[in-house]
Amino acid sequence: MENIMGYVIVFGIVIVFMAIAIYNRATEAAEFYVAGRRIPAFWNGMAVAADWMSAASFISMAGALYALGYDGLAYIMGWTGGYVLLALLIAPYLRKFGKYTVPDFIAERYESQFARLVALVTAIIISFTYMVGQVAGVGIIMGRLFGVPFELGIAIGMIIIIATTILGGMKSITWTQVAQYIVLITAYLLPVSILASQWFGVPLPQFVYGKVLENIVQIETQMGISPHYVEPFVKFNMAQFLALTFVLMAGTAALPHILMRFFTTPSVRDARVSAGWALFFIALLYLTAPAYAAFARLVVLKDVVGKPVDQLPAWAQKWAETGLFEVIDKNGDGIIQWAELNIHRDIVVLATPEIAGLIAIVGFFVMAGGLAAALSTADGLLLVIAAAISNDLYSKMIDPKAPEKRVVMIGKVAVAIAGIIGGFIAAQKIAFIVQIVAWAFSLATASFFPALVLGVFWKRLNKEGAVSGLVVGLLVTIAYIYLNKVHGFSIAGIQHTASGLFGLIANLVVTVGVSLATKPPSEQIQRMVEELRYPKKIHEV
Amino acid sequence: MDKEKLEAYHRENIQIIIILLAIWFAVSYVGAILAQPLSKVTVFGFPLHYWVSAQLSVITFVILIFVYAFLMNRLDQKYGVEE
Repeated sequence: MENIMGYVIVFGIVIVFMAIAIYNRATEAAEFYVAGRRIPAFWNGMAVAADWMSAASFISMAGALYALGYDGLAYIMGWTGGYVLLALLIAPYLRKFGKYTVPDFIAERYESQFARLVALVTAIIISFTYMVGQVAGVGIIMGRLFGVPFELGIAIGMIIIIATTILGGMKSITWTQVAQYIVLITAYLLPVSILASQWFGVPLPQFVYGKVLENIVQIETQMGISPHYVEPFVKFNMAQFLALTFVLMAGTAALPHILMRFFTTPSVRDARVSAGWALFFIALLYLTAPAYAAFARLVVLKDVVGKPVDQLPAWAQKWAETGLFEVIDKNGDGIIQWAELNIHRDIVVLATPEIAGLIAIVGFFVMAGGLAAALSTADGLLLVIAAAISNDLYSKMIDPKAPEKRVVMIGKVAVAIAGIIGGFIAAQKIAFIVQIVAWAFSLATASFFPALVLGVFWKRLNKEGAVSGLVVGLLVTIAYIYLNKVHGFSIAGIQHTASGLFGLIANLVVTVGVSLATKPPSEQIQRMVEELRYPKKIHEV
Repeated sequence: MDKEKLEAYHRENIQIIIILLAIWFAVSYVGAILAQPLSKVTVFGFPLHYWVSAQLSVITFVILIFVYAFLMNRLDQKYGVEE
């Protein structure tokens, strides 16, 4: 019976997403790439939030905070603070530029098709690996929900993602993303809000978990768990914490699938406001994740630790069957110690409905939220790949005279092919993919971030400087990842996850040096850069 | 349009960006650098360093973006460069 309810909820929601996509079909380039530039700031903000928040944000982030304590907040600050950089330094200017893609901007600003090629290949690598992660997330959720095999779950998810993107490109994914945001945020807030009102009489977990933190520290100190939960700089040293926060911020500001959404607003003014709404909607989840983590930590400390091994609470027993919750009685005393617990990070969000004693249907709804998070992010990423191949590679480099309809058609074919390949790779469960996703922020920090920010604010920057900076930035980042990961080399204890910091520094040195040593860019380019500053058209270019 | 006016608009934009980014830097990075000393203080039940990084910073980021949009939209009108 419960399973049937689960099917009904998830299929109902998927049918709504599909209906929205079918209603918003498109065949013209402006509709396919930028939804005709008619998306109001508020709704674009909501779509950005869905585009941004991935399966990992939804299912795994609270669990990461549970494990990392204060140090995990580098992710919270990094993935929200990046929007300040995006809103102040990049998005409004790219909107004024007014083409379709980030490689479009790079190619025109730096008068170079080689720069376009580097940009489009980087965009594809980042987006493709990130997408594979989402597709794997869909497979896992489908498996947990319906008990369908992982591969079948991936196939179903991939069909939904491809169909949504192929039907109307940006136009159809925008409105499905809006619906997906509403599902995912409701599913995320509901269980933890109910838990907060059970414990504190206020359904606002974000405001009351301070008391929980106090409690956790008390209990952990008594139990001799040291360093305790809120102790700073335990898992990361301070340099790594700061470097990681910065790399996540700069990477966020420069990720192509997010920037592309800012091409869809009607004006520069709307692009600015839209960034505010985007972060507002994102913050609702990111302010709540630490509350999830704290509540779960307290429940485990109170109801699991110190109890006999054969008397696990009901929710823990259920998750123990799935292997995500594990107790190994190492010292054989029959009592559970903190160190004897092995808790998968996904449990924190998934088990909260049961911890709060909510009916099973809430658990299914949470799964549906995770599904919405994965689908909405995968759509946006797939569109970046399609745009890079059809707009940048085909129409701008291979066949500039191609009619618009054919270019869009090629975009749709690219969606299908990239989607199918992504599905196959996700089905292989390659651990390497997860790793590359973590590096995507470093790669974006070392390449797109300076190319975009300096491209907007430094008129004197020329092609030679930008292109050599881009290449050196990427090489230094990759070299640092290799040296740190394989040989354990590090500077100030900074890990490979924050390698983009060094790539960025190298990029800046080379960009500025080479640029000043060579001729300034043409009059025309300098006028174009000046033009970016003003919402209104100033020059007759 | 008059070139000096356009440059004044750009200068004011840069000033606004610098001020807002200084606040952005303070709540995130300075807050984290001071995590050890701040952890001795409690606000609303939260250890202060945790509250600063988990809530104050995020809420400030949202406000900063809206403030930037407000100030720039006003600046556009002052200089007559709005769309």
